[in-house]
Formats: sequence, C-alpha cells, structure tokens
Amino acid sequence: MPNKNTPNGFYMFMLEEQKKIKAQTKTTPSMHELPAMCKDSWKSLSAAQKAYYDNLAKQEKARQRSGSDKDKYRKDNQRQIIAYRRDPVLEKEKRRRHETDVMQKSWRDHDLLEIVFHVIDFQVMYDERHEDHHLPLELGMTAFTLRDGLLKSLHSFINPGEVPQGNKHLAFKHSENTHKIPIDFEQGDKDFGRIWRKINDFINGDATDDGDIPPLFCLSDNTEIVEGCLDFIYMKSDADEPNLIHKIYCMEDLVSSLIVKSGKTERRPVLSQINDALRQNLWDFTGSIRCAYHEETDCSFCSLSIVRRHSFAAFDLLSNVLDFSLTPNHMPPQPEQQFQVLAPEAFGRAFQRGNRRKNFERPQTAPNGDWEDRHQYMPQRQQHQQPRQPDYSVVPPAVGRFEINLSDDDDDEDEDNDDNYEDEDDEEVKSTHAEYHLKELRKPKTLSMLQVVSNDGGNMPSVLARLGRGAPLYMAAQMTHPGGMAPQPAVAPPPGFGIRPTMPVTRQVTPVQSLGSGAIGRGRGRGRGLPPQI
Amino acid sequence: MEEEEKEKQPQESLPSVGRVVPAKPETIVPMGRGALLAGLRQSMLAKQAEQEPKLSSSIEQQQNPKPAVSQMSGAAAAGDAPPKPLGRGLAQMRALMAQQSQQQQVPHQQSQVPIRAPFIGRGQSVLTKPPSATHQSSRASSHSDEASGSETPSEALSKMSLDEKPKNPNERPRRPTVTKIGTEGTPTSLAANYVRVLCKNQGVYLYHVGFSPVIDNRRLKAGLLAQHRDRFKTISSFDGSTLYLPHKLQDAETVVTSTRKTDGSAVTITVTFVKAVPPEQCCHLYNVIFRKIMHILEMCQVGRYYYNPHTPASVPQYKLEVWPGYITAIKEHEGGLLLLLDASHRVLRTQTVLEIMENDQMKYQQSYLEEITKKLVGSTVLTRYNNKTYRVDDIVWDKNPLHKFDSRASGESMSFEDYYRKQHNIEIKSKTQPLLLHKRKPPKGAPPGFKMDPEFLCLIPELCYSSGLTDDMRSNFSMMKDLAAHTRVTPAQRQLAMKKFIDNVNGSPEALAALEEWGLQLDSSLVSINGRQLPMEKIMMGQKEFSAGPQSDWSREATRNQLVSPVNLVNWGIFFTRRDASKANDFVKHMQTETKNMGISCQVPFRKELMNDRIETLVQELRNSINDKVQLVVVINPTNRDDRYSAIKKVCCVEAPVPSQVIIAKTISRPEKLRSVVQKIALQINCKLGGELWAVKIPFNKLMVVGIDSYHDAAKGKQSVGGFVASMNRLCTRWYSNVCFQRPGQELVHGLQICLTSALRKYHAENHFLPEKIVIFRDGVGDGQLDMLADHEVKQLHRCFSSFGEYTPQCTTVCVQKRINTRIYSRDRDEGGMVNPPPGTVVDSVVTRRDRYDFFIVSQHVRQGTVSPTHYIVVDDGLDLAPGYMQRLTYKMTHLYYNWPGTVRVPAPCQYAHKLAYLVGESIHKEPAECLSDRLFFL
Repeated sequence: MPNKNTPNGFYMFMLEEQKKIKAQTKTTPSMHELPAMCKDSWKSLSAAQKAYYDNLAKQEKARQRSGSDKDKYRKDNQRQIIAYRRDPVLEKEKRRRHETDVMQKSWRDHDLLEIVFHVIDFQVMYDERHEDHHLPLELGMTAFTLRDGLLKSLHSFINPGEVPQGNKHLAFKHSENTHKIPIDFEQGDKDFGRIWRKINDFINGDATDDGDIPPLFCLSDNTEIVEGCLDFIYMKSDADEPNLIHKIYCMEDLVSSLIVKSGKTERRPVLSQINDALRQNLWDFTGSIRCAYHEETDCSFCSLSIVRRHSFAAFDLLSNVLDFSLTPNHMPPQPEQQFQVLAPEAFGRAFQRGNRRKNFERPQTAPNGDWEDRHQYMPQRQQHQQPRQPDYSVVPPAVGRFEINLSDDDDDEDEDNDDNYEDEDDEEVKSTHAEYHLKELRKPKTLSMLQVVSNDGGNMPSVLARLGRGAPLYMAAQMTHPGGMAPQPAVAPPPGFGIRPTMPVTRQVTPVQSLGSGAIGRGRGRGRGLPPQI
Repeated sequence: MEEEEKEKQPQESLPSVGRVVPAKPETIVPMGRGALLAGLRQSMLAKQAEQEPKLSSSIEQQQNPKPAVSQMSGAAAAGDAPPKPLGRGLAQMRALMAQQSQQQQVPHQQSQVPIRAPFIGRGQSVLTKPPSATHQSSRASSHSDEASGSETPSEALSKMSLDEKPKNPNERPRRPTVTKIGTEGTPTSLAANYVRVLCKNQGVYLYHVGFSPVIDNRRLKAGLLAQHRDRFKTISSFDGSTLYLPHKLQDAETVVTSTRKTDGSAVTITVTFVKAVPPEQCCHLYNVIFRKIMHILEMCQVGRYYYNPHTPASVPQYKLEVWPGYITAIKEHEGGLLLLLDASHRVLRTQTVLEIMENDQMKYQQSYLEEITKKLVGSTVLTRYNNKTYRVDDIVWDKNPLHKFDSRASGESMSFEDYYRKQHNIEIKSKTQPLLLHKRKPPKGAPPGFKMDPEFLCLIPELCYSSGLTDDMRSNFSMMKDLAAHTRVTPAQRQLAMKKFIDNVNGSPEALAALEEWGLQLDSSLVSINGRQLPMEKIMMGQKEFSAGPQSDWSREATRNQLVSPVNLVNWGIFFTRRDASKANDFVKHMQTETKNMGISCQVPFRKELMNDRIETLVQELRNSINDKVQLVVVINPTNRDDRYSAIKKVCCVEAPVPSQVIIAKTISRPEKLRSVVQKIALQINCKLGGELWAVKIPFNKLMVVGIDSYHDAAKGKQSVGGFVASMNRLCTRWYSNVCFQRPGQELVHGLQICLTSALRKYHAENHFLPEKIVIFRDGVGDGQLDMLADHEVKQLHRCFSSFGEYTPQCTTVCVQKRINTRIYSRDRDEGGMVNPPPGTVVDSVVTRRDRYDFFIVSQHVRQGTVSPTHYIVVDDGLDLAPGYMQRLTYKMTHLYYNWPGTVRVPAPCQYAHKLAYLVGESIHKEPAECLSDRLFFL
C-alpha cells in the first residue's frame, strides 16, 4: 500500500512546479490538478534529477518526523494525520456557535417579539446512519411571532417514490415505530416543484427587509434530516431558481439566544435542558393540532403537530422571560370533553348497599378542605373550557362520587336549566334508588326527546357527526343531555346491573398487565402462575 | 518496497529521540516494531540470567534502565536463550539470528523455566512484553542530554502505545485459589452438568514458530509446517506463530526447511521451545480440541451451540423440527478441569420461503405481492447449505434463479442456478421464483455512508427456511405445548442427553484419538457435589408468621392475611372506555371485598368513562383529574397498545406524579378468574402506594441493600438506562429508587454514584443514621466485565462515601448472573433419578470458579423443565461476612419481590431495578418524578 501522506520525489517536484506555474500565470493549481499537469515532465526527467527530488523528499520526511512541528505530521495507525482528525461533535458545536452569532446579529434592531420565526420538521422514510440520503414523507412548518403566537402553518405529505432497493425493511420498521405513514401513500404529493414552491412561498412572505431568506428552525438532532430532505425536494423539483434555503438552525439555540437576549439571566441556559423542554410530551396526543391522517391513526409522530408542539413549548418557555402574554394562539385549542362521570348509583345495588353509609358520611368526616377544594376547582376549569366550545354544552362534569351543580354553564338552554334545577337538590335525590330512578326516567332518552330538550333540532346532526365512527344513537343521547348519567339503554336495566345486554363478554384472560409483565413480555412461554422469569 | 523501508529503519526510525545512542556492537538499536522484538529478546535474556523470573523484574528494568542494559549484555554474552523472532519478521532480526546461531552450542536447561502465565494467541506475548531496556535507556539518555524537563506530546503519545502496559489478562500472574464454603443449612448430595476431564500428560509444551523469509499468510504458514507433520505429529493447534505440542521435542530449537509450493523457494522454519504449561492452564487449547470433536461428530455450529442435524425430532403437524444440540466449555474450576455440558434445542421450520410464498399467492389472489412483502420483509431466513441466517430486506420480483451475476471468485458471469449446482451441488427446481435480497450491514464503527462490497446478497427462496417462531405460532397454545415436549426437558432427560454425548465421544474412534492425542479422557459420569439446603424462611405478615413452604410459594397466605402495612384507598380514580364499563364495575366491586382480608379499606373510586379509546382523550382526562389528593389512578385499557401505555406512564410518572395501575380489559373479563386477578392487583396497588406486603427476618442492623440493573435498547439513538434501588428500613421492605441515563461515551457508574449518594441521604433522612453495612447486588454484568467491575466501578462507587465526611461503611458488591448454562440436579430419594433441587439449594464448591468467591443458589421453584440456578460472584467483600451468611442473606432477598408471592430467581432489589430500568427505558424515557422514589411505582 502506498504511503499516502508521506512526501515522495514526485510530490516535491510538483511543489516546485506549482511555484513555477504560480510565478508565470498568477494562478495556483490545486494538489488535485497538479499530478495531471506534471506527470509528463516528471517522466521525462533523468534518473539523476529524480534522485535529487527523492533526496529532497527524504529530507522533508526527516524534517516531518523530527522537526519542531513533528506533531503536525504524526499519523495514526491508518496513516491518517492525527492533526487532521475531524471531530463531528466539535464541528457541529462550532457551526452552531457561528449560526447563533449570525442569528443574534440579525436581530439587532428588531423587536424580539415581532420577528417571525419558522419551524420545520420532516418525517422520513427511514433514519439510518449508514444511508447518506433522507427521503421525506411528510412536511410540517409553522411561522410564529412571540407576541401573536402561531401565524400560519403548512402541511403536506410527500411521496418520494419507490423505496430504494434493499431498504424496504428499514422503511417498514421506521413507519411502524414512528409515523405510521404507509409506503407509497396515496395522499403523498409527487409534484416536487409544487412542494418546493409551497415551502418557498411560506417563507418568502416573511423575508426580512434586506430580502434575506429567514432561517428555518428544527431540533438539533434533526438538522441533518431537514437539510437532507430539503436538498432532496429541491433536486427533484427541477426548480430554475437557486436554492436559497440554506439556513437550518437549531431551535435550542434560538430559545437560549432569546433567553440571553432578554437580559434576565447572565448564564446561557443548558441546551439539553431546553431540548428536554421543547420535546415535552404535554401535547403529544392533543388531537386538534395534528393532521387529519395522524388524527385518525392516533399517532403522535406527525410533522405538523411536532412543529406546533415545539412552538407551543417555546412560547411556554419564553413567556415569562420575554414578558409577553399567552393568547389562545399560543396554546393548542382545548379539546372537547370526551368523558362522562358516572353517578355512583350506576354501579349497582349490591355495591351500594355495602358502601352507602360510608359514601355519604365521608364528606362530613373527611378532612376539611378536601372536598370543598375540588368542588371549587372543577367548575372553574369547566368555565374556562366553555367559551371555546359554545356549541357543545353537555355533560357537566362531576368529580368523585358527587355530582356537582353547574348551573352557570347552561343559561342558554331552558330545558337543561330545568334539569339543573333538579340537580341542585341532588343530595336528597340520589340517596335513594327509587328517586334516582325517577329522575332518570324524566331525562330524554330518544332522539326526538333529545331534540325537544336541546331546543335546537338543527344542531343534532352536528352533535352526531362529532361522535363519528358509527356511535350508536343512545350514545348521542348520552352526550347531549346533561347530568352525567350512566350509559342507559332505552329501557333501563334494574339498578345494580348496569350492563348493556348487548355487551359481548370476552372469555379470555391474559395475565394482569403489570403484575407479570416482566415475565410475559419476555415471552419465554412460561405459563401463568409461574414465577416471573427474567 | 517494504523491504527497503525496513532497511532504512535503523537510521530513520527514531522520531522521538532525535539521535541514536551508540550501542554495543552486537545490539542493534531497532525502533518501531524492531524495538519490540529486540526488547523482548533482551528482557527474556535478562530474566533468564536472573533465574527467577517475576513480572516485577521487568518493571524494575523500566525504572532503572542502566543496570538493565548491563544485565542484558551480560546475558547476551552468556547467550543461553535463542532469539525470538515473533510476529511479523523483520529484516534486522536476521542479524540477531545469525549471531544467535553462533551461540547455539552453549548448553541450557530451558525446561526448568518456571511456568508463568500462558501464552495465548498470536503475537500477544510480543505486544505485552515490557519495552526494551535499550529503548528505555536511549530515551533516558537523550533526555538527560537535551535536559528537557517536559515531554513533548509525541513522547506522551509513544508512552501511551501498546507496548507499555501489560494489559492482557493472560499475562497477569495466576490468581490465587479462593475457596469460600459456608456451613449454613443441611448438606445434600447434588450433581451438576459437568464432567471431569482427566489428563494423563504432565501438560503441554508451548513452542514458537518462526519463518524465514517472513510469511504473512497464516494458511501458507500452516501448509509449510504441515510438510513436517511426521516430525511434530500434531500441528492442529498452530495459529500462525505458536504451536502447542502434547510431547516435548528433542531439541529446544528445531530448524527445518520446507519448500514453498508457489515458487519452490526454501523456507526455514524455526520451532523454539517457550515453556511447559500444566493442563489446567490450557483450557483454551482443550476448547479448541472440543470444537474439533464436534466437527468429527458432524455437529453444526450455530452461535456457541452445536446441533446435530442428523437426528432431528420432527413435529410434522406444524412443519417444525427440533435439532438436539449441546454447548460445551472446559474451564478450570475449584474441582479441577471440568467440562460443562448442556443440552439445547433448536427449532427449525421445515417450510421453505418458496412454499410460504406459494401458499400466500393462493390465499390472497390479487394482493399477494403486498401480503408476501409484508410477511417476509424483515424476517430472518436460514440457508441450510451453509447454516447461516440472513435478514430479508427486500424481495426482487423481477429476477429469478436464471439471472446471471458476476462471480467474484472466477470473475465470469454465471446464473444463480449454475452457482448453486457448482458450489453446493444443489439443483434449483423452480426457475421462476423471485429472489430475496439481503443487505449486508456495515461493520460496527464504520463511518456513515459506508457501503459493503458487495452490498446486496440474493437468496433463493427455495433454499431458505424461515427461522424462529412467528408471533402467530407462539400464540398457538397447542403447538407450543407440543414443542415443549421436545424442548423443555426434565433433569433426567437432560442427564440422558449428556450421557449420550459422552458415549458418542467415547464411541467414535476418531474423537477418542483427538482426545488421546493430548492425553485427555472424559469421566463417564457427572460430577457430584455436596451442596447445602438453606433453611426455609419465615414469612411475616401483619398478624401471622408462616414458613415459606417447600415450594416457596405463599400466594394463598398473601391474599388472606393482613399485610405488613396496608395503605387505605381513600381517593382513587378509575378510567375506562364505555365498552369496559361493566368490567370496571366488577373490578371495583371485587376490589372492595377482596381488600378486606388484606386490611385495606377501599373506598369507592371516582369513575371516568371515556367516550372513545383515543389516547388523547385519556391523557387529557388524566391531567384533569390528577391532583394532590388523588392517591392512585387505575386505567383499564381496551387493548394492549404500547403507545397508550407509554402515554399513561409518561403522565403518571413524570408530569403529574401519581401511582398508576394499568389493566388490560381482557385480564378482568373472565368472572371466574376475576377474584384471584383482583387479589393480585390489590397487592400490587398496595406496593405502588408505598405499602409493604410481607417481610422476612433480616439479622443485620444498619444494613442497606442495593440492587442495580441496566436496560439497553438495541434501537439506535436510545440511551441505556441504569435502574437503582436501595432498601430504606431494617426489614428491607421499603425501597428508594432512582434511575440514571447512560449517553453514548459516558460511563454508567457516574450516574450510579449520584444515585448511591442520594440513596444514602434518603436513608439518613428516614433513619437518622447512615448504614454501616451496604450490600450491592449488581446485575447486567457479563463475565468479561467482571474485572472492570471489581477494579473500577466498585472504587468509583465507594467514592460517594467521602461526601458524608468521616464515613466508611463496609460495602460488599455481588455480581448476579442468571443466564448461565450450569444446571444443578438433586438425586431423587425414592427412585435414584435426577430431579430439580428444591428452592434454597446452595452450591459453593467444585463447580465454582477457582479464582473467585462465588456460589450458586437455586432460589425459585419450577414446575416444568429444569431449574436454572443463579450465579453470585462476590467481587468485593468489604463486609467480610461468612460465606454462609452471605448466601442466606442473598436467599432472603429473593423472597422480597412483591409482585410474586414466592421466591424469584434474582434478589428482589435486582428484580426491582430491572423493572424500573425497563419501564423507564421502554416507556417513559425520562427521569420519573422524585416524589415517587420512595415507593415501588414501577411494579
């Protein structure tokens, strides 16, 4: 194997030629071009002349080995010069520092709260260390200012074409583990020109005064993916204009720079902490910020939701530091209430009998403050939610075993008020079954009754539509009438057996999830009732 | 070219010294590789001159270079050692050789050289020798000349080079034998799956083989040596530079000449005696011999196991077959050289991939392409012609076996059909089948974007067999039962299998000859051991004490007695979807009745019925409902979905810390089983709330027991998690837990240090004193890391103590190994056959390691198959407990795992740490909230 990094005669000759050429033409040919230029003249040299250069090379070699700067030429066992070693971690650090400087400079005479920031995220086909390309499947972008919150967002599925040969397994696995986007997704856009234009239009609207393309932000772990995907889209788009999107910055740096800029703290915050904060899972499953497809599959790896989550997390982090107030634009919309609190009676007589005394004496004997606190707490929460969902006024929540009067919720609905009026003397009503049952009977059960109750026939379809996915009618009835009752079929079963007769009873028992999950998860095939094996 | 370079070396190769120190005429000062060799020779000489070679002597030389040189030269004059041209030969060694051959006449007694550590592998002995005295002296003198105080970086670098440190564990002085035998318990007679290996010879003789001119190719070297087979008799152990012989050659140095077949030139081979090795120190050699025997017996190797493809047991109704197999290992134990022999089974499918494809094509008429792709891509296949496994990465539909490729070996283009006919003598029947594509993985540590050459391998579906069992098959109960008949063998069957192996070996003349060659002989029966049966533990519960029983199972008592400390369920919630409403009803009802026996007062929970089974709904509702007053949330999941479970745990362990219990609806759907299920859940819930279920007597005061386990995720980018659990009270029933993350490039022990410090702090806060005795059970450490654990990690952990001022507790570290091949059998009293030993059986002699303080405990009871003991190695014994007490304490610890009313395989702290690390690594990915650390929320 030739010793690549060691000077030889030809090398010394080339160096000399390089000097000559430079003197003549004022251009310096690079070391890549030189061999082609010099090889003929080298061949024509006599042995003595060659020996001269060889000797030069020898001297040079000796100098490299023992000179004062010998460490510069020291090689590792693969003959790579140690001084030239590249540390990808350090390099990235350096790049980030540089980018942060540029970013901070560009803010110089701007109001921090007014600058538009763009966040971008891609879901890729696979993320494999040994692959040098990234194939985008989904694009999500948001633009926000700190003062006004989210301004706009962009979302698109992308179809990058066939899976490269041999990577199908990777693609399957990645899709299954994360974004659940199928291969060759029919919603995927194949028109890369259009996608590229979309991205450009999205950013260009917010170009700064000097016409600079604003930077795109993503998490530091994803910069390579985002860059790779953008390059891929640009390449496939056959765009005429040059690719101007080259500033892909780290969101952690953005947040930490903003914190530093605020002047509230001397020390730069720890980046990994910011990373943790940006990745927080608070909104992972908030449906309303996801795209339709991921909403349906109930999957949190949605680019649109990821960029929004990052933005929300950034607002959350910065609102105290930079003194801006959070508006609804700074938060995900509060989702509608999708649960129902059951009255204790729904759990049946046998159950009641055993515990009635305890149940109803508990509030008096319970430590003070305990129950009152919750009574106060819950309605407030409800009030907060109410304005967001004006068309949806059902199910006043009750907490624990106690129904809570929420009369302030439903001022606009007369019939409901009536019910609420009943709710007020709750304590007496629910203490006996007969009375409870009576109350039950007075509640609307059928669709027509519901319409009467809600006083708004036109509203029904929308209520039903929300249920979606073939929810049975009585479910709609449950949802639209207040009171928080148990699921009641048209004919109420005797109290105590609140099971719907249609309910299929599965006859299989698996071991308790966490009781023996160590044993079962391992799948050693040990039967139930055996000690957990690791 | 290379030759030239070597020639130049003496002048040029002193980069760090600057000038050559004039040496004695006969000592050339070769640097670089040459230095090693010359140095080796000189240090050898020096040692022999001393007549009492110790490792320290070479160290002395380093510290005191000048005398070493004089010693060396004196020895060289005496010249009673041959040169050792090891490794890659160098030109200047020829000079040495020539000079040496002049000194050959001097008689010497090589054989009396005391035996030191065995020389293993090629060239290792070269590398690990201390640096040459000459090298040192020249460097030292250059230093004094230049009077440079600080060393340059290059100097520092060269100091770091390989030759400085005797790192190789084989080079260490032989460890002393450690025998620690306890006296607790009643002696029992046991057997283990070991066979004694008898050696008739005194030992083996180690020779070094040198070639001149130098040859690099190992095969060529072996071929050249083989030309003198009649002289050396057995050369199978030749590895390129060292040769073990069962007999001693006449001369200390034998020189023979072979002819190289390629060019007919003569090659001189010098075989030099190094030392004699006693039998117990050449296990590696004997293991190689056994590998040979396996090939003689026509077993095929898969991983570390050898399977017999000739006598498969087939399960035709499921298209499966089971290959019987063995694992063997010879090792030196307290009872001498023992052969470990364990039976194993390999389940193979007899259905080829092509058959699967055809079936699917029939089944899914239209969409078979997708279905087959979905099914096969990502699966692992086995090709029987070479017994290798491949992962299918893609299916090439547009190629078939007639497709041509460029053969690398011959360079010509040939079709797959021809290739298999020629190479493996296999005729491919279906010519139209598509091909499977396997993408070769780049080696570990390859730079990003690295591609293998060739990157893809094409496989013929007809020749591929799906390997392993699919999930469908695993869930097929009757099939698993049928399989278990073959794979789950009783101790008696296992013993029969071992007998059969020994008979096979002894019955095959070839195998016998291979053994006989080295003077080995297998004993005909298993080794018998005197073990002990530890006394049964007394389990203490709220109002009752009872014995753990012969099967160590107290599930009856656990659910019927009052707990040690029950926690009342006052304010708790249950979340369920509409479909599971009735199950939730039943569950709550049963909770109320079943918990009475345990002394728990269970109030009615608040119930939240979810409108749908979306994660979002549930998570939002959890957030809404959890406040300071809520003790516990119970979630009934409609299905077993990982993301849902993970979302729940993220909310309940990090965001809004509250103990949480997830139940899969199926589990509580059978009314007849519900009662016992609820009982178990109630116990589990009680632990999660910080309650204690039962206890055993712990005889020590001020003791803290620590369990450590680690979780590694194979998936990329995920960090390893270390789980840490420490007992907080005297009975070891309350535990403090913590986790630490190990990012790439970090060491786990740094996180563990923090954990231990905080655990000690917590212990002090609870008890107002610090523990005086600490026992650490460390799981997740392999054999190779034992020394690292003992030398490095233990010391690091001990460093925490200094943060508490003058505090030096006694601390013992025990390494727990559960995946071992050792099996222990007990003799059946009635029939005399072999049965599983009862829980509490301890073995601490014969089959334990010679140089370690270790013991085996069988702590769990199994109803089918063979019980597997757990191996405990005390790597650092600061507590200095009597072995019997240590064993009993360990056994007591296996009683305290609250998720199982019986004994478990490893000490409870280890099991807890495992659970914790698993939960965090799989689901939470973040540090759980501090306020949960005092309870077993992770159960």
